[in-house]
Amino acid sequence: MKNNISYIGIGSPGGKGAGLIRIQSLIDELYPEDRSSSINLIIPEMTIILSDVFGQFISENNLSLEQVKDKTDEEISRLFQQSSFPPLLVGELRKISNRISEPLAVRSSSFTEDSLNKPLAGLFATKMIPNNSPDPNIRFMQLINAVKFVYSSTWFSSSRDSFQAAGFDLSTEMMSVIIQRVHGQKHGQFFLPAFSGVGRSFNYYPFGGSAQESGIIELAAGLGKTIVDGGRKWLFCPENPGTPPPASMKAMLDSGQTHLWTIDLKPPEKESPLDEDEFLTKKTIKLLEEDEIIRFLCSTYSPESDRLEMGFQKNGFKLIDFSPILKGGLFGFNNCMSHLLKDFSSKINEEIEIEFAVNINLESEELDLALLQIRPMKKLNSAGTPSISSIDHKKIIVSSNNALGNLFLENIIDFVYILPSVFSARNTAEMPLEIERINRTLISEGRSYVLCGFGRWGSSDPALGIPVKWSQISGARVIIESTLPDMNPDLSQGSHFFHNILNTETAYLSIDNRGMTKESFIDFEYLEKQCIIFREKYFTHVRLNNEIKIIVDGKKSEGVIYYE
Amino acid sequence: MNKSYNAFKMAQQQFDSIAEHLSLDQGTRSLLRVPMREYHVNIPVKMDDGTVEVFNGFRCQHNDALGPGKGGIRFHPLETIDTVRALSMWMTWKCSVVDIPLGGSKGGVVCDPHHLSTGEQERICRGYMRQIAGALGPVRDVPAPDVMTSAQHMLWMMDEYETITGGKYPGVITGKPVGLGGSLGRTEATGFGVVFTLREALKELNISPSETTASIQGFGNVAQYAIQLFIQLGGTVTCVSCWDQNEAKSFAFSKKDGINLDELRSITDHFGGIDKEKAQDLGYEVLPGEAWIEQSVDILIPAALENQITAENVSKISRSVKIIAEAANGPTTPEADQVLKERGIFVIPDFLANAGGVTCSYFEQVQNNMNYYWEKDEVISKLDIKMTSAFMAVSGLARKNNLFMRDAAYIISVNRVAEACKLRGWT
Repeated sequence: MKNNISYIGIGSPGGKGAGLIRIQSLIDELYPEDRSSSINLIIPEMTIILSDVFGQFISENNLSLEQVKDKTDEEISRLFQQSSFPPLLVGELRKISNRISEPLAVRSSSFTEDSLNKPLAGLFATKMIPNNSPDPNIRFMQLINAVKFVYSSTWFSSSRDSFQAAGFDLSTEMMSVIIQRVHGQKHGQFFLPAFSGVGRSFNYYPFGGSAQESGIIELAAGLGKTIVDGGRKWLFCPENPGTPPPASMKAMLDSGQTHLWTIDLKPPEKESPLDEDEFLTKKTIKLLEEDEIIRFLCSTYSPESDRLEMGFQKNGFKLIDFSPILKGGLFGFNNCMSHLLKDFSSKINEEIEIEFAVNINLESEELDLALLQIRPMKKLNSAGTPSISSIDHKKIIVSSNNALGNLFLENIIDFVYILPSVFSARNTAEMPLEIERINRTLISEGRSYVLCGFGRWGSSDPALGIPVKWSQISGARVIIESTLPDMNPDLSQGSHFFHNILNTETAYLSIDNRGMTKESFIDFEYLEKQCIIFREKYFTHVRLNNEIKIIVDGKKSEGVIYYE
Repeated sequence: MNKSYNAFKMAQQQFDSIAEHLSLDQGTRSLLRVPMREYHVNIPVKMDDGTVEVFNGFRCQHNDALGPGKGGIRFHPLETIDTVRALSMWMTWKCSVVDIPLGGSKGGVVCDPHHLSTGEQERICRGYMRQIAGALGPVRDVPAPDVMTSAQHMLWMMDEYETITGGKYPGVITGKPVGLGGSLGRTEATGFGVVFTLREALKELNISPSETTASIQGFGNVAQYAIQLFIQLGGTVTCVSCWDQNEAKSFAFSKKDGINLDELRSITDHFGGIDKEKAQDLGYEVLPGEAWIEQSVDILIPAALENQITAENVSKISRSVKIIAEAANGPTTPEADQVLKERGIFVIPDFLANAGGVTCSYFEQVQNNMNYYWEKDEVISKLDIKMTSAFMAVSGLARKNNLFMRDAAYIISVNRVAEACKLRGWT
């Protein structure tokens, strides 16, 4: 494979950068000859601004963590925007702007962010820029502002909180930045790949009879932001690509992808260099109906037969389930992904996670599969976990038969929850700021806690749950999601924060309140009898009289919280 | 200053040699050998003690075929018309070699600012402008700071020009303070430009910057920013020299493991003179000024005045020296140049190496004309691209035709100017 990676400065390429360099060598090693398939594997052309440049930027502009500790993210970002890039390297950025006039992704590549034992995925910013102005000066300013924005995100309050919670020293974090061509195609004034995805070599949510070892893949039309943000996507196991996740037809249609993310190639009405999504636009899936791409990505629902018919039909609801590619086996995509996951995982000797984006070439009927990131997954270990059946049922505060994780925790006495009586699905958008304050207080006091709420934590749709970011709840060691009559989505099982949850070994307990069975409940009565530290508009924080223990049995998907 | 040295004769010799190489016609040679226009002025100035002194001033406009004239105004007690003529010619080549649409000019006033009060300096600036304003202007000839003149001097001159003309013309002068029509990055531009070309030279010679050492003559603005960026590039500066105003001679300050720029800046006066005693206390070896050229380093950067590497001292250059980056104007005499050629030392010629200043002045004019000012990153990145492109054009020609770098640079720039004269129908 052609080496598309160049460097600016000296130092480390960061976690994401190292992953991409690794992909390059893995492909060269595993697939030395161009395979005659209809899939072209590529790594989009990129330049990595190595980590020492960040240090140089900080020192030359006399910036310090101490100086920003009381500043808002916007103020920090503004401070970075007003600072100058190292003079020896700024010309290199201009060369990129002069040479490339297509969309670029300016991606953080922290050493801490994507390393196996340094679990802060998705914490730092990535900014997509259209980079299509005919004026190279405008392209240059867009690019350098985006680099500075990514730099500034290193010191945002969410980073400071998360580093403190994880016990890392933020002052040692030297951010690398990847400037990479966006893998996509023009659709009128919008730029996007046909679809994006995340593949994992090990599946903690096996369904349809697939083995955990065969992995799992998430797909969404358009930019990968849909997946990263926990939006609506399609899940499948490479072993059985035609088998959808278990759900009723109605649920499947209701949860299908309706919107996708694109880069808007038209100049924005107002410049907002401090906004991560400045140039992104969410469009309905109809955008893809304007050309033929849609026919590869959907099934059409037939109400007469109550069935999904593979491919695009003029009439009928379209479900983005990628069935022509997955069920129909077009392009050999599933086979290719399956091999990549197995081959890479076996070569690295760890379970892995790959991010990718795909363009469909209608003329040659080939796929261009761009690999965008690789990182190791952490496999949970069940050894030493006590048996749940041995616990006195009277002492159980929370029980779930749909638990994620595989762990045994002690020494937690703080519990933050929202009572069913004060929860309202209409007000979920107000809740993140409240929990963020509580989270920050508990982190600053060095306290881990249990967090309990309704709906999907981290949903981008406020109607489906509380739309928090991971950083706003990063101090929680146990997260509980439950349901109420007016907040009754299919529970997320932690999918919005999957990687964070795995790598921080956070327990994730889903409790379907509709049944309130012996195996699935929350004892709010017990919690209300504890010492209330404070009660805000929505959340209550109690300090328990007795230390609690948490057991999650990953093999049985059972989890309990109890006291002794 | 060496009395036998005549900068203008040297500039003419250099031009004659290139004209021969390019087979220029006689008319073009005659036009380009001398300035197109010269102004000699006498400036009466009321001194603080009530007396009146008359200062001699000059402005030479060598050639404006490529665009309005551009060149600094020097305040120096030993200023001569021949120096100003030579410098105006070099400005023509300098603007041309970095491919900016400006011609070459230079000005000077015979005075010593060290012995003048602020008020006296202001009156000289305003007096000079009153005499010369008719010959200047944003579309005619645009001065800038130079030896012993600063942004403040330029601002006084601009103010006087605007008083005379009754309009606002920030583009009449460059090197103004930021906020009053000046450009971000202008202060650093010349020194940074030197290192941009040095960086490219190191790449071409396949030398890792982190393995190089440098000795620098001068510790003024250009030298300080060149040192700053050279250290950022990974290099080590082991010696700097500077003029000591009190003792009226220069000294060199050496530290084998590398000078500390911030440390030296903290003991330097605003003319670039380093305090000898304090330097010794900080562990610097204090040597005679000429010692800068004898250091066993990889790179020499003359960043003071003209005529510093001569037939007399060229043999003192260490065998370890691989590159000379001429940050000053005309630091090497033709005789010394011949020796450098024979020794195979890679010379980045003055009008290429130090073109960062005029390039940024051009950017300043562009911003003045738009009345829209760029971020510093925008200025520095454009400067890098301009300097790098110019270096690559010169080194490419040098490699292709097996030429000395200075000759290649002259060929490119003289050819551009000669072509412009021809297209305008002048020759």
